[in-house]
Amino acid sequence: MSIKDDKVKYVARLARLKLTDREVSLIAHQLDGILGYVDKLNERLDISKDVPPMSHPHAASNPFREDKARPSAPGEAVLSNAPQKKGNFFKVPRIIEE
Amino acid sequence: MDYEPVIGLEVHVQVKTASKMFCGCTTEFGGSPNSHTCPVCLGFPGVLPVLNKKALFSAVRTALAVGCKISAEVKFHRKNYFYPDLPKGYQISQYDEPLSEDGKVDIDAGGRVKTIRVKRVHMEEDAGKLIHEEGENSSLVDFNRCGMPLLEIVSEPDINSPEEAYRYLTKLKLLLKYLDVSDCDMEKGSLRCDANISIRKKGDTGLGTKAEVKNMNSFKGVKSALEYEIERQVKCAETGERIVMETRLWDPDRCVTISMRSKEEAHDYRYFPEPDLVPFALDPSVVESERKSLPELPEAKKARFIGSLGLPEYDAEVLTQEKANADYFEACLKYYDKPKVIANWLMGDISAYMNSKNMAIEELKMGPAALCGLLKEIDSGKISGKMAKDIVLRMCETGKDASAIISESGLSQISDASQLEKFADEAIAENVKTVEDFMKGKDSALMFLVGQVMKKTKGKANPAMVNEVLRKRLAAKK
Amino acid sequence: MDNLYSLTANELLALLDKRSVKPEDIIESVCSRAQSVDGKVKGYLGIDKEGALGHAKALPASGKLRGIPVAIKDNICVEGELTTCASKILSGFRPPYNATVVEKLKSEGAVVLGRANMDEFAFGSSCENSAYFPTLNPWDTSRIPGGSSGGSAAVVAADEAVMALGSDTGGSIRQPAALCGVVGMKPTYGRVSRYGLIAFASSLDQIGPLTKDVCDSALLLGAIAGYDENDSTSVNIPVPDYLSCLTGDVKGMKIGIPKEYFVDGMDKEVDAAVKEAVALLKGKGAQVSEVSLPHTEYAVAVYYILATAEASSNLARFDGVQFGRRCEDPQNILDMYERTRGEGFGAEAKRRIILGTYVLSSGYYDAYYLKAQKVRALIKDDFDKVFKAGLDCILTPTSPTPAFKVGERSSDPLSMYLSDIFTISVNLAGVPAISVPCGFTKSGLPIGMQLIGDFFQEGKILRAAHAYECHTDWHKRSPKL
Repeated sequence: MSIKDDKVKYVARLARLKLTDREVSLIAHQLDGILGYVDKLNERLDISKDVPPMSHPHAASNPFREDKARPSAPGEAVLSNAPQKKGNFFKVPRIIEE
Repeated sequence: MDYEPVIGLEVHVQVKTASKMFCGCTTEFGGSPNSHTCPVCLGFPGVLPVLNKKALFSAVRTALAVGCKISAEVKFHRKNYFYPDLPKGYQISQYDEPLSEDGKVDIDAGGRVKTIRVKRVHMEEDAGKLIHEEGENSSLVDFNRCGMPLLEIVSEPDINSPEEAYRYLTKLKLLLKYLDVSDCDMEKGSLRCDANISIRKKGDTGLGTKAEVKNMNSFKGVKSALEYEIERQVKCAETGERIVMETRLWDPDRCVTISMRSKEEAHDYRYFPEPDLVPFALDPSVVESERKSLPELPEAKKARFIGSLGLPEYDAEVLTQEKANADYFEACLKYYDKPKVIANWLMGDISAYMNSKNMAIEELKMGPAALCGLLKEIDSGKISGKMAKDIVLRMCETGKDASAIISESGLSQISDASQLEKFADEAIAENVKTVEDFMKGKDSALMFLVGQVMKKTKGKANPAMVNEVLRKRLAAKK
Repeated sequence: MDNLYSLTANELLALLDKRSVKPEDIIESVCSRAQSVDGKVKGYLGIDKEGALGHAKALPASGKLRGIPVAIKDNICVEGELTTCASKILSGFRPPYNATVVEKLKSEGAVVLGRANMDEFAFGSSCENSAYFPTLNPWDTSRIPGGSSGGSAAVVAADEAVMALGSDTGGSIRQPAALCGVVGMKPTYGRVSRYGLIAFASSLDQIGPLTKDVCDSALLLGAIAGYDENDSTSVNIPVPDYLSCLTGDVKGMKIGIPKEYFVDGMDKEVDAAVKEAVALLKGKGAQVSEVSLPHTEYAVAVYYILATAEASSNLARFDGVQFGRRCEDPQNILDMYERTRGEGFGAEAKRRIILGTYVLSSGYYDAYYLKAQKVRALIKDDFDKVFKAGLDCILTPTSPTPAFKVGERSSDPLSMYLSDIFTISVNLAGVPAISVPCGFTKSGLPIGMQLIGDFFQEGKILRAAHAYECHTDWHKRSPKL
């Protein structure tokens, strides 16, 4: 599959990444190379038998947490890294209701 | 042309836990902004989720209660999208292998039982809250709610009227409260509901283009929103306007649904298995023991109240509408063996009292044992049913026993004949004309005299005994 | 003693035991070494000498690493200290918590000395993708040190740190260790807590030690390994005493040589050095046999789908709301997101976010992501089969080539990705592996070999690596700086 500029733009919007036109075509070109490599291998490997997809190296081990409330982080710690705040709120530009 | 609405509901329920789904922050409602947060629920770099055991098992119990099949492995997925109330840029949710599938909820649809199929019950985490600042070009974010455990209960499109939707929600809420899984308080946001709705010509079996209606914040709101939306779609169909697939917001003030404009890009949530959580194995034996430990659910309880306690269907229905009421009723049975009498009191004076105070039975100061004490006093004749009506109110107010109230206010019935004779004689002496009438055979005159004695005793006399004493004294006069 | 900086942790601990040196002496020595050579190597993003000296005065009474200064890769959270993943988007970020490994180090008496440079968000194999500056190879400063833990490997190689922590997602500890002539270990997935490691690919990432020799590797691994209730993917099995695994002999150990790892295009000097190492181990009594890991050739493709997919999601939180950098004067929320991220991420991060988002996006998931997950299972099966057949470890080259020139591969991402060809399968399978120095090229560049073990068999690969080390002195050589 060859990846086109408009597909890169669509994906960049999904990922909320501002790219310049130059970046878009460069990335499209580079991804073509990488995906071409992937596709070539894909073609060679036919997974005819039913292989379960692997998401974790280990099987289930049920690491639960008991339902106990612990003290939350002090407000200072939570908000100290905020780019913008107001009182104890995080502040962001207004959301344009879609 | 007759149209029929086809409705599916997605209900989000906040699970009652002490701590959040993946961290130890409290789930208490309120609190100053961001005071119930930590690096985990704020999605700080490097932190990791650890699943709250109670949240999982509450979900399992709910799924079992609606008859779902439970998956042997619980897998979480990430749902990726950007929004300022979503700190990680993804929500931990479940996708193609949910906790449970294929359940049902039976509702009463105009006198017949209708089955609404439940497609799935799954778990996910809640997002934070955005506050739009009036007149400012900014919004504020409070993450206290972020990471609260939620259950999503998705119905099949089996609902065909707003009334059915309302009943389905009511039934679901009842179940969840019986399970003690959630408070289901729509105002506090612990139960939220979105609806997928389309219309079709009556008799058709296909599905029309659906709209998703959001922002309905009360059970009545759901009903009104659906009514409005059905009407809107029917109007569209009749005027030939195309119904578009879109999300619409219910505006409860103007009572209309408003299109959110389909400016939003096609949803492309890029679900994939959450790598920070290994799948949780749910052993069938664990599921089975959860199933066995489920409380008796409202339908079963109602049937038992009718079948083995002999309550009328209406009473059984009323008493099982709140689990706490049913629990109270059943606690009474330990002290007193006339179910119908208990039911009458609960549904009558006590219910009226609670309504007037806007309180729930859990807040009632009078416990089941105390109530039954009162009922026994009536049976013994120590007090009249009418007196009991006053006493029960005082018990509710003070939390004191019936016997305490009776003795401290001297309320007990005068059932001592010698005491009553004195009052009877007085009444006879003071009402010569009435006595004459009685002597002439006007039996109703006696009732007047009884009333007089009751007045003299400030209502404490046992009326039957007054009657008896008066007859005796009058006979003696003849 | 004025060459304390050149000693291993085990050697320094012996001196500390005899009270012939104080922890402060070690910190002074290592810091002055760093001061004199880091201008050339550029391995550190920051050194906190005063903080380290302060900590050295308040050490716990005992501990496995009491008084040993450690460099920390810049993607491992240290409470109240800058932790930036060598990215502009996290400039100024000071986590209000320690990573579990940092807690463990501190409780064992180690002293956090500084932040080691890396490829931004661990995206890279050359350390050229740092948003701040590239780190250079101490053996030849016209060459890259490898990556992404290039800073960690370089500061250990240059004696600017006694030991260092790195993270390894597809070879990010082992490849720079090989290229810098130090020992680097990627533990079994789940052996070391990832809590506080800023995630690249959560199902592949693992923190591990970079050290001057195998004994130090065993020591540091023992200090950081173990179950952590804050990491659901950490595994609750006991941590053995790794130092006691180092017996010095390989007699009877079954070592497999996978034929798929000795391919055309591999550097001849690397090939020769690794084969010589095999011969040496054979000579010392190891039973060497050829084995097959048939799905090896798919590893790079599988890796770049799975790792970038996870990364695209893991990096979504860098959006300018709760922490990190936000763009100037955003017009609205979309503008804030797009510019914050567009300006904050470097080229490689953008490339990987786009690739990862693409393979997860509607219509492509099955063809790429799902298929990659299936092939991942086949790759793991390959390892399961050979270990089940009785192998103790697998021996391969760590990297197909020695350190390459700065800038040589930066314009061709695929060629850069292929430099991880020998290390990636290990992460996909989840098994442990260690890279140890096994020679030098004629031009004086280090060569590393990789020993791969079965799940949680770090003890076995440490034993084999240590036995090899006992009979060689590659690890004792130091670059001239």
